[in-house]
Amino acid sequence: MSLTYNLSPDGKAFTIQIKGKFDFNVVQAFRSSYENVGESKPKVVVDLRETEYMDSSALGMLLNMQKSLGDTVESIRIANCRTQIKKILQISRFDKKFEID
Amino acid sequence: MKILVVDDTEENREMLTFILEMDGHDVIEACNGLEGLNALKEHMPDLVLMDVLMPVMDGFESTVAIREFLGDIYIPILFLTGLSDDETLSKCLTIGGDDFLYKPISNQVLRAKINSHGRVKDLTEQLNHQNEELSRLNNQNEREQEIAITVFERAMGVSLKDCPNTRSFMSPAAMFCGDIFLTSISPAGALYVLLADITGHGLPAAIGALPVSQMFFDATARGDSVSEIARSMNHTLDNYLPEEMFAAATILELNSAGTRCTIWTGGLPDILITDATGNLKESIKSQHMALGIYSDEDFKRDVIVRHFELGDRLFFYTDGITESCNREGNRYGDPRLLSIFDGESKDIFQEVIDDNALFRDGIKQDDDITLVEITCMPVVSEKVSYQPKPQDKIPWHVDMNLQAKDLKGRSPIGLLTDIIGVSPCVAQHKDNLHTILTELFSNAFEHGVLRLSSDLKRADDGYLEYYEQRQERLEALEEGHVNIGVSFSVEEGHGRLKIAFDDSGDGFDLSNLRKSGADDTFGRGLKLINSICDEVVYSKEGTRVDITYRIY
Repeated sequence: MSLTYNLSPDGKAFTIQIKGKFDFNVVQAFRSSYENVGESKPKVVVDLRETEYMDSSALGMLLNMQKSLGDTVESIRIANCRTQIKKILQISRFDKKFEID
Repeated sequence: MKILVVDDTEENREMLTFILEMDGHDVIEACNGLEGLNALKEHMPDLVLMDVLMPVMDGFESTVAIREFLGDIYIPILFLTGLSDDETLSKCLTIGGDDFLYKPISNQVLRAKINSHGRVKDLTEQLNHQNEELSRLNNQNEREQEIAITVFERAMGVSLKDCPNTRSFMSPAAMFCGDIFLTSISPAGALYVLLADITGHGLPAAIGALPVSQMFFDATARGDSVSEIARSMNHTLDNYLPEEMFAAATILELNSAGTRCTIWTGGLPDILITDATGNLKESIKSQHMALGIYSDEDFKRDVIVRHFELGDRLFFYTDGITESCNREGNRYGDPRLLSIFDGESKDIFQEVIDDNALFRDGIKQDDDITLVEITCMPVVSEKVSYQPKPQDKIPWHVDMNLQAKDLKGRSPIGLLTDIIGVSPCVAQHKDNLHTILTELFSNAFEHGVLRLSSDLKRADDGYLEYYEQRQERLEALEEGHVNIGVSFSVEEGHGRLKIAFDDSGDGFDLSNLRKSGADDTFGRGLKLINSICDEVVYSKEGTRVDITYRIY
């Protein structure tokens, strides 16, 4: 499985990790992962340290997630991006919508 | 006190010794000037009582010899004299004596003068001691400054050498400069520039410059965005610097094509922008407070993005220029600076420097002065400059003709990227090319061959449905094709990649290239392609797209 997720024991952090390619192939897995954020209003971290590549469909998925989660989470952060991914996020102005580091 | 009594008359010596020992002083006796000199060398007394007329060596000669021996060391010498003529008394003082006592000696006067000269000696010693300490500290300070300068210069010295996009002039007011000008090239070949003016000048300002430069080079090596660099610098300075210190700064990224600038600017004077001929096009006001004032939560990271024509120039400066004063105490001021931007000047950069120097007319500047010029043109640097070797200039062409059966398997884009990435000059652009090819392929395949509509993505949950339909149509696919052609050539010393996609779809209305909003979950692929490529052209009713990507 190239996508894993995990809610911290205190319910404060929900982490999604995507390994390899972040594209339409993970659309189903990605969507169902964030159905598990729970009621504790956690901070969501999309950890891309093992993500080699993302395309524009991944951008759409991230936006969908943001719309769908809305106020049920504290924040959404996209973390540990490689250069090209960061560049794609910047070109798409995602740095205005998400916390990125 | 230890007192040396020099007198050839035994009764005088005994009398003085008696009085002085009564008062608790230690006394050394000498019978003439020469003995006195030797005794002084041996005992180094705190004070000398010196008779004037003595055999072998008189008091004058002895005093001259003693002063010569002592050099900078101060020991008061009081003459004991029976003579009271003006000439003798004045000679006592001019040859190195400090005072005189008339014979016969009055106990009371003797005590008073000894006490008084004892105080002078104490003060003199204290002064000497302080002078030594001062000169020791001064040496230490100089050594420390030298070390600091070395560290500082190394920290600042990693900037680009000979970057044709930038010119800079820096004139520090003190040994250290509180203005910082740094340049760097990102992994994607963009030019990053930082100009900062840290509160004050000299060593304190330079200390603030160190973390700033370190962060700048780390962040640009990672290719961080301008707003992110601004934010992290703000955070660090807010933590490091005392309340009253901060850094007015402009951070700029010029894309590798030299046509787009992303700018964060806080607290510095307006950025002045001219066209290639020197006409002022625009001035950009500082958008934010300086770095190091706001806490991380309150920090504003918005940037300005501007598209420029090749040859446009941006001028940044620190207020050291406009606030510099002439002999009459008048300020140089904005109007005089702006008068140089009238379109008449051949070289604004040099003219501003010359005009400001002319204005100051040798008056010492009281703040650091920095002027930077940035020219919008393709970014070239040692790091990414592409100097094609003869074999790299060989043009090539790769075709990939994908039929329905080929399209059903894994995406062919990884393979295609690897194939063209073998070409030495293309290699360092693989990341960008992979992004371009992936997006072009998705469009050709999904909207063309599979005839999927982006409209699907508009609906709630449409995204998932889109990919479900994609899966269904892919499985049912029996015919259709995507043809990809990639060709490489070198023109005017620059590499050029042309990529063409043809698909078997129905195409789309070219007049209706959809403009998607910022919140739309679709239409991002086109935006990506447009940002990365130099040229994008659709044709054949939307079934063909040609892009050009330049390699500099």
